[in-house]
Amino acid sequence: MTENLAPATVLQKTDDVLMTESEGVTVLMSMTTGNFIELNGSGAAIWEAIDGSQNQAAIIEHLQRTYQIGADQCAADVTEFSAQLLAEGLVQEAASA
Amino acid sequence: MLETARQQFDVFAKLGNAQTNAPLRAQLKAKLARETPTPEALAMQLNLARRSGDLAATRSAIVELARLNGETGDFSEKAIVPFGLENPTGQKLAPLIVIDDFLQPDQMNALHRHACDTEDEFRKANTNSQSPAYDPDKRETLVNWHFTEMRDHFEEFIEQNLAEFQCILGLPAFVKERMELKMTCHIDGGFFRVHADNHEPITEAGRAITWLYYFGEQTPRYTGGELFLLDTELATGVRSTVWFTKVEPKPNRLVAFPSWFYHAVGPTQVECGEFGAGRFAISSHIRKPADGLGWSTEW
Repeated sequence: MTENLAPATVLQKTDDVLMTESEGVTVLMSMTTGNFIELNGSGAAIWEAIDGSQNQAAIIEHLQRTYQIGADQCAADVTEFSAQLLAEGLVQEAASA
Repeated sequence: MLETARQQFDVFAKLGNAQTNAPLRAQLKAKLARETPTPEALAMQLNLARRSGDLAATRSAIVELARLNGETGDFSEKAIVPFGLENPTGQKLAPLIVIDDFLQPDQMNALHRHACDTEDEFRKANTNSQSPAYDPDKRETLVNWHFTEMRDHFEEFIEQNLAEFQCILGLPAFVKERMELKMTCHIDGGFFRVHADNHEPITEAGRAITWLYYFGEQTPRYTGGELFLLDTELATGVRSTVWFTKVEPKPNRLVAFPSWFYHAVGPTQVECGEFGAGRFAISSHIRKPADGLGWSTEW
């Protein structure tokens, strides 16, 4: 499942996630689906950046600046991976302030 | 082995990795200690335990879950997973009997010696009874249909315990039509990809209980060869790609489950390459005739 996340979307981690490090790889597990998601370098950075306060645009800008990635590539990576996390129930949209 | 089977086993290995699951289970345990346990959290505890192959913790989690639901949680010592449990995506957990230390050590050793002495009677197994052809993409098992050692012992044990097995596995008291009984060995590279032993409706004639007795050297020189019992939706045959019960093929262990549930045997590694160091089993199917018995609606 893929979803287009608006730049203003703010995501937060759910309580429904268990996380561990295995052989240098971060593994997330949804308590709903039981699936494992392994985080590579960029995945781990996106996961780290999802904190319930930064919106998608801010995360893209932050990662682009930190890792010197092209804007289009960075935006595509962040929205695609965020959508996957959403579909797995590992993150949810944060309630509006 | 087909690439699809290899990929499937890689997924099982990853999801069932005890080292990866241990910290996840510890986090969940801490969460359960902090908060009032919910049935969902306890069910997850159970699911992670069984996926990791921790049978004692699986049984404890089932008892805990039953008690939370107001039940006694008292069930047979032989039952690791009782009949009637469902995973979060609606498939049934395969009911599972496990009996460790099934034979006396000298009896198991005699069985192993017999297997080694009759090595030349083992043949490459066919894929299934309907399609009598050897297919290394689907299965690599050596089989000996004519073993003699302890054969009567196994037949008598099943005769005496069938009613209890039926009860634990949620099966009605069908009459045993006959029992298929063979000795198998998985040497280096052995495996059996995901399959069910019976695809017929439950009231039709066919295999009803699959049981295996693992044996071999007291200290195994093989690795792998685990049994993966996949959660299955019995009415449709849909099986989970994520939830399963992993059973280590520990020597002197007997396991039994209903034949309709999907299962697989993971790849076996035998570094020394010796036949006698392989993963041996007595493998059996108890067959029943067509019946009009009172099958639980949960089937």
